[in-house]
Amino acid sequence: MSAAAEASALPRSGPVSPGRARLMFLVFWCCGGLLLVSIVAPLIALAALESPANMIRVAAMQEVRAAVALSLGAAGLTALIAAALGFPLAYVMAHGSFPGKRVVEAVIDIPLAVPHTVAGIALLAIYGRRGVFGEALESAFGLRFWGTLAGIVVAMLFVSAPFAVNAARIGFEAIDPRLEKVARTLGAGPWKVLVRVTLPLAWRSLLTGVTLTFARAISEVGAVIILAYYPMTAPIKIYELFLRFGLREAAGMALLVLVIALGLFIGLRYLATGRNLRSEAGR
Amino acid sequence: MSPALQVDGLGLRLEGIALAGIDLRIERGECLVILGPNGAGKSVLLEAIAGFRRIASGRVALAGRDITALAPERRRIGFMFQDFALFPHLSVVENVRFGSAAEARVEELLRRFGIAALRDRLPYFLSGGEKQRVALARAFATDPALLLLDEPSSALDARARDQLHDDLRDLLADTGVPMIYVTHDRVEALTLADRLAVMHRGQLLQQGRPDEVFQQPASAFVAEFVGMEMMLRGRVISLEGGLALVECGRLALRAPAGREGPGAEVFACARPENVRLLAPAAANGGANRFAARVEALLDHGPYVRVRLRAGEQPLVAFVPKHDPALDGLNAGELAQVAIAPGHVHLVAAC
Repeated sequence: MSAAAEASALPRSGPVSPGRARLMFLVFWCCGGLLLVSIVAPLIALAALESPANMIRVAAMQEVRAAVALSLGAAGLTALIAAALGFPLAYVMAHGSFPGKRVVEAVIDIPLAVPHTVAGIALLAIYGRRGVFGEALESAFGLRFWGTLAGIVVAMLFVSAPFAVNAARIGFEAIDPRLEKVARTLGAGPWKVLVRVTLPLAWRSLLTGVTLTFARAISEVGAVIILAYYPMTAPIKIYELFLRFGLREAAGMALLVLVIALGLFIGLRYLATGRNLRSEAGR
Repeated sequence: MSPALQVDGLGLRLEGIALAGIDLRIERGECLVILGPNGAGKSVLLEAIAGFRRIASGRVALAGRDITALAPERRRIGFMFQDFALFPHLSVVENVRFGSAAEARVEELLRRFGIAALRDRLPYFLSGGEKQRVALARAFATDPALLLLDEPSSALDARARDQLHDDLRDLLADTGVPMIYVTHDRVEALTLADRLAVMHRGQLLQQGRPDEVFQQPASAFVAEFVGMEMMLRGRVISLEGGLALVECGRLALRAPAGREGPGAEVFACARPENVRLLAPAAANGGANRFAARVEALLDHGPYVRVRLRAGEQPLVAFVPKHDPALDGLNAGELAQVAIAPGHVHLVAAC
């Protein structure tokens, strides 16, 4: 037998004395497993509570459809706006330092720390009819935020924008700055470098940012309910069904929303992850 | 005619490093090697020349044209980074095409660098040597007026490194595009340099032909960095007939007189390849002959590195492997050392 054949017949090498490390991993898996169960189990319970038939029945209701469509539309719009405003900020923050960078970082994360009803009140204070933005935007464009799609979107944007900025920033920071430099020496100006190097290398992170923003936006209740109880987004509609008709009606719509939101989330995540040789090299 | 690149009084300051008073001049077809330890500011200097860093003082001119204020993409300066910085999302041919729209030129470069067969591969699947050739092809696709190379060999194995050196010498001969090559490896510096500059703490300490810098370093730092492994501290006793007599501890050495007069504190330096061991039978006495104890013998392939100590003074000799002086020589024994006076170089000790 040749040495190479002999080597390939050997069992795969593990660490020396794996017992102790194995014990640690076992303990950690137990902890993490509990967390995973606490996330997945309620969702399974919801699915078990409801028959698909009831879900379909609820889905046929006009007001339910309107609420779901509104949620999808508002969250989609929010994700687009968060991307348009947040990705440039993420780029600036990933490229070099500037005075007050720490402050900007903290500001971006503030919405994560503010209770969302508080955020709603704060948004009302500025976007309301007598608020600075509210008054200016109404007189300039006739744009109102109380009980409108615009109100839903500003509420969703406030609570979800950090996800767009942070995910994009991670993506931009992961790009070797030498790639952008070498592109400049090859005759590409800053915009061309952005389009031909930076964006193609960061797109997965950007998509992750959009996905998380969308997911966070569609799940928002606290801030939205203060600015716009009507028109009803899906989570608010579920809450209303629960109050008016009890668990059964609410659960039917809850399952419907869960299926739609989770489907979109999983689909987008699938696109944004996965092995990617086109960005692994050169790091 | 104006030089291919002229840098006058370049200065800039960053956190942790400042460059000051950098003057450079390179002609077409020349390779300038900037040699210096890590942190000397070599990469910063290249980035300043390429236009990535605004300089605080001085000017940079390419073929007589002042480019100090030009953006990097308008300078026509190619740049090769340590790990080649190939675009990971683009195939080999797309990488080469990045800076050039002319398809015929791209094809010619793929052939020239022997990477045509790899054209559709992603960089992830290339070896170090292949990456290096793609990076060179990509840089040459833009028809650069100058090529800057920032320690490109550090990511290569020995064979790919030799290949890189061959490629660069061929490119210099064929295209005449001048190069600045940054390294901390003095062998590489000797291999590539038409001109050599030694950099330390943001300044160019010495510039010249490589043999000049290697044989006649202008300062103790340069001497040490270019591999003067014998540096004996001593004092000039007298000057006569163009030779200085230097007393280093209990050794008395003769060396070509430099600027240092009698009484001056100096280092008497010699390159290890110029420190010879004499066969045991050789007569004692004569200029710069003395006994030294062998501390260690290390096989370096074509030669043996012999670590010696003469009294308190450490020195190193590179002895060809089949030199009879090595016959039966063991660590701990005394050896006779000879250094021709012409191979001892004096630098001021300060």
